[in-house]
Amino acid sequence: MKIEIPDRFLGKPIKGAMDKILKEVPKREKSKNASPIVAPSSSNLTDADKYILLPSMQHGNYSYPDTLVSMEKNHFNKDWNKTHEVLKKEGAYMLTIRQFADFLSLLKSGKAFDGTGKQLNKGKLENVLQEITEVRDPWRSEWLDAKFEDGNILYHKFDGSTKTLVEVKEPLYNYIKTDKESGISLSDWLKKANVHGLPTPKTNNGSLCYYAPVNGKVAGFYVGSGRALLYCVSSPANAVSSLGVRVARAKN
Amino acid sequence: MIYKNSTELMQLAGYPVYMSDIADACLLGRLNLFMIGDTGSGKTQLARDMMDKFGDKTVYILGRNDMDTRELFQQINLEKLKTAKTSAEIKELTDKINYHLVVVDELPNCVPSVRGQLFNLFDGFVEVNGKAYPIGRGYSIGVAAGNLGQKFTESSNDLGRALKDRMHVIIDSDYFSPKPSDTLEILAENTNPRVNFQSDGLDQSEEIINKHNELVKQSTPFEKLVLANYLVHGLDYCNNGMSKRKLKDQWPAAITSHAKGSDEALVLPLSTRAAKSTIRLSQALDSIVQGKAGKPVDINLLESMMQAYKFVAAYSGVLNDASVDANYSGDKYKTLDAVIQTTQAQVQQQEDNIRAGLEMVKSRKVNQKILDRFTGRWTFMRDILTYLAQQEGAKNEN
Repeated sequence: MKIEIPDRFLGKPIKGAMDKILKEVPKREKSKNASPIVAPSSSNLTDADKYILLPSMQHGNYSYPDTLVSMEKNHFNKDWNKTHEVLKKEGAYMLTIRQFADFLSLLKSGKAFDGTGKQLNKGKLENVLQEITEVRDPWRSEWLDAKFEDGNILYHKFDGSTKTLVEVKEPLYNYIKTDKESGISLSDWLKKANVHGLPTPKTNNGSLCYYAPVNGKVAGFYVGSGRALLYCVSSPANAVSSLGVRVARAKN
Repeated sequence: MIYKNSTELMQLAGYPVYMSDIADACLLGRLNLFMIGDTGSGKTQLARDMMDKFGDKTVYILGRNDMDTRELFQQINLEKLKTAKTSAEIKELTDKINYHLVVVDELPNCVPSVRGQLFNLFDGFVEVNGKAYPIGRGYSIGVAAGNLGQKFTESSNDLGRALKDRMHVIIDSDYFSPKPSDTLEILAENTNPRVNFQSDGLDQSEEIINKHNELVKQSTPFEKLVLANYLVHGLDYCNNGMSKRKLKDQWPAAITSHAKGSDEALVLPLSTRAAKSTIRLSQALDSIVQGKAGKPVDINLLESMMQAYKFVAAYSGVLNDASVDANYSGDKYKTLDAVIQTTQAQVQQQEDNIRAGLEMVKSRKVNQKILDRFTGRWTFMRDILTYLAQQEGAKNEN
């Protein structure tokens, strides 16, 4: 049986593919967190009132289940990889940029529930939102689950049915590829964010500084007295006392 | 046509695909179809509508537990088989049989010997004294219906095993039941509770067979061959280096640690036979969607293959039923949606490597650095690319 070798594979030409692959920096063969993580039940949380329920959401082919997001940050002074490890031991995980954007939208909506199902008042939600985004001292920052490699984004997808978390690698697309130090609009970013949560080229200008993904770097959200930043160029080795993580858990 | 069901089973290239389209795809691809469902779910009517397309070149058999093979042969006009003494006489009798479509309602009611002959009829032959005699003049297909309960796919169950072997597409008609608006139309049309057996359609046998022959002649896109290989070999791979096939009954118990929660412990690889059915169904669905569009449309080959996989695999016995029950409330289609999502992510991660591999094949030189890109469940690509590079080299020498 003669098999014809195509000139294209899944719509893209094969010409030049070898060069592209061979020029790539050798990568680790397997992601550190590639094996799935079994998430624990959230029903035995004794402090469910310290969490905000982020309702399940579908964005293109990305979806996540109902998620409990802590109101406060934890695990300060730990680098990005260490933070993942600590969260994994707790059966928790880090918010993806997409989840973080949805979380900010939820806070801005003024209507949300805590982990016990009790509706939170607007003032409480406003406080959490200001803690994350308000330009003022002291410097606050939190890790987000996104690593950038060769035009791809690595993050974790949670499967609510199997209660597992698996690292995925997907090509970046439809996002602003250059830094916007002059700023993008926070509300427009939240409104038009792409499937990975990154701002799309149609995002209006504003005051949120944006640093576009860079190979080998990870994402975080930073805010201080001068400005707020969606920072996709953070070194995973950073570890400072003002840098923590917002613990997330799948809700049962 | 009486069967009405506007519940979408999938969308391909933006066109909805319904239960009747799956039935048409089975006719086009010559794939045996088994419809599981409770009484009144419309499966018999759909089968009846399929018969309508074949004029008198079709036979309907109602499965009963007191039916024997003699009665079966009587129904298909082979009652004289018992008196035929030589192979030539038997052949003369079977040659006269021109059924293209055999429909069996309540198949599970049949005793194993009758079921065995029915499965043979589906595949286009009759077995007499250990010898196969063809019927159907080159095109035959079986459509069966019945309610089997939940346990029929267990390997200990003879019917389950036979079904997996001989029925290429098994679909739960209750899962994709008609919408209330369909029921409204059905009820408004008439209140006859019986299945309509009145034939009013034109005999489309020739047209269907011609289309089938065209489909068979089409070459399979390379993407589909790779995806089918992933379903056969990629899904066989376990992270600890073991093969699910080699594990046999130890699967999924032998899958430990975090892999326990992944698709490693959820789904077995497809058999080569099921992979062929998947490709054939995908090709037939593509053709049906092109027909709906009335013009050439770009169909996402990955999506088409994955949807075909869903309807071939769901009841083929590849799923870990315990895990399906525990994590997906027993919903096999939802389970496969999760498997498909993982597969799509896997392909997305590998597509650049595959393109590089294909360029390597065209260069006719094996490049180890390219082959080394394929690890884990994609290791099978090393063998494929090496083989193809050698083939290309040989082609050049000739």
